[in-house]
Amino acid sequence: MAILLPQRPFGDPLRASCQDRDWPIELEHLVEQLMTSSPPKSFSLKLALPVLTLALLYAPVFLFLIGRWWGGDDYSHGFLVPVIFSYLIWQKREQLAQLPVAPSLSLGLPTMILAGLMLTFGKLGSILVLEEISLLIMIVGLILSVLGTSYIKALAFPVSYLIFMLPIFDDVIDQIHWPFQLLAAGIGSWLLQGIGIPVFRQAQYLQLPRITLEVAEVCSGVRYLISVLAIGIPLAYLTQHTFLRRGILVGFAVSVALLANGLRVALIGVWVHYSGHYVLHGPFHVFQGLFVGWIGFAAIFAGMWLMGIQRDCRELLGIPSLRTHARNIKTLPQESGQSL
Amino acid sequence: MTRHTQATKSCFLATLILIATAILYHLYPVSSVPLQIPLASFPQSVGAWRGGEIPPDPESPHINGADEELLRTYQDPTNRTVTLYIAYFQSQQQKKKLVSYAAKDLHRGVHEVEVPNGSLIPSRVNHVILGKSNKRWTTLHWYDLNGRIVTSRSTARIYTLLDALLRRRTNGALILVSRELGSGDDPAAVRAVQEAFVQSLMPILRGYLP
Repeated sequence: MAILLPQRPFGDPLRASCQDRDWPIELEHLVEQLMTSSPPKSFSLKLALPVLTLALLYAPVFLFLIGRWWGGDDYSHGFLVPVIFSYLIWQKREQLAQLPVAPSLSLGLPTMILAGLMLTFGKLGSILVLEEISLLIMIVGLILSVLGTSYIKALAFPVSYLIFMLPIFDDVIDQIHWPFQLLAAGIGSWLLQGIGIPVFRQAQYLQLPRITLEVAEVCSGVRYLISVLAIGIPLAYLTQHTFLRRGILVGFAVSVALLANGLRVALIGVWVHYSGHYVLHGPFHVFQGLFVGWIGFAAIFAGMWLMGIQRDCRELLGIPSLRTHARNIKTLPQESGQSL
Repeated sequence: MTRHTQATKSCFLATLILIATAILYHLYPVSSVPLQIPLASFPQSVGAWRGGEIPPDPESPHINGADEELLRTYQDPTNRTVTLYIAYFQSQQQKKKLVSYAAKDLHRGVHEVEVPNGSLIPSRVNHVILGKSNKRWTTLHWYDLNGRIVTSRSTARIYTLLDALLRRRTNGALILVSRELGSGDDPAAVRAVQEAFVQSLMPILRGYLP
């Protein structure tokens, strides 16, 4: 249906038309709806132009990232991150369709310029971290410039989640290897003593009767925690509805993964002690660091399942959640007209 | 202006910024800077030290990807030895970096020491013991970025970036002076030997590195 609006000599014709009180109220609503509507298809085509340009600009960074994901276990979850990112956006499609397109050039363009400078400086100074982080900032700037602040609010989680595809955690991880090496060695020696295998622990070294094991830096299990977080955080976001429950689920998965690394050390000790083989990671390398990741992923799904059971039980018994309970207490005086 | 027109305009502005970034990213030239004299002609004599007679241990500390390298063992008149390693990068790229994460071991547990260099102000260099229990090296090392002696990785990155922006060059060198620690060696005494070598080395290096 085509709507012909009379052109006014000055100002915004749509807004000016709305102020004309001779118009029927339905038409006024229709005009208001048109003004705040989601982007039409032609706009989506125009949006493809900066998106494609961004993809071309960052092609060297993408190629490096793919090489890094492919090249080692530490960041192999990187392949999943864009897929999960796309799913998170698709899952919000209805909410996004309702949002008005209101470009914020005053915020977006400076953000894009900052990202562009970071990218260039990163290349010039061979500081890859700068180039990688500039990708996220450029995406934020582009969303602000083209779609506006309401979109960036709605897409805050999916865009932030992209940080997991960047191998920027190495320096952070380096700082925390040592306590996790000690933790794994401590748990391992405790478990070995618990099943009657004599072991003497000195820092990260476990002295068994026939061999001394070292919980080396690569065995700290910390690297696999990034993978556990990369999978656990979006799952918690999608399946749990409160910040507390999401935190509990992710914390549970991380804790189990860390304990699993101690178990892995103990299993290697058992394997070496009883088999007499010095192939440390057991048959088929099942006791390698990946073990930590597997246990962590299993913990995420077990945690989701347990939380689902807990919620089902509450619903079945008619027990409100703490949040609902608190909301009811707050709203009680207004609803009942009584004061507490 | 309607919102859709404004959105269209913003699409084009965003694209323009991206294109401008691409031009800057791909077209800002950084030149390669060769050594003043090739490292192959580095002198066999450094003060009282003589090099080239004892083959260097290929396992001694080094990094990968340099454009020019020198690995040589020097010996003083009392038969004390040190191994000199110089890695020079004419320019740096993502896959060929002087300061890289791969060389992180050089900076783990490192501390700075002062070494006389013939001038009034002594140079500060890194001291670290590398390797595992069966084979360890005590090492003095530093970055030389166009005449600046730099010990920290972050500072080296900042200077590299500044050189790239202001002088359009990203060249630099890593200098390592190492010595294997024997079971009976006193690390402090070994370090004193290395420092004596570095004191003689510094003035010679200036003639080679840009």
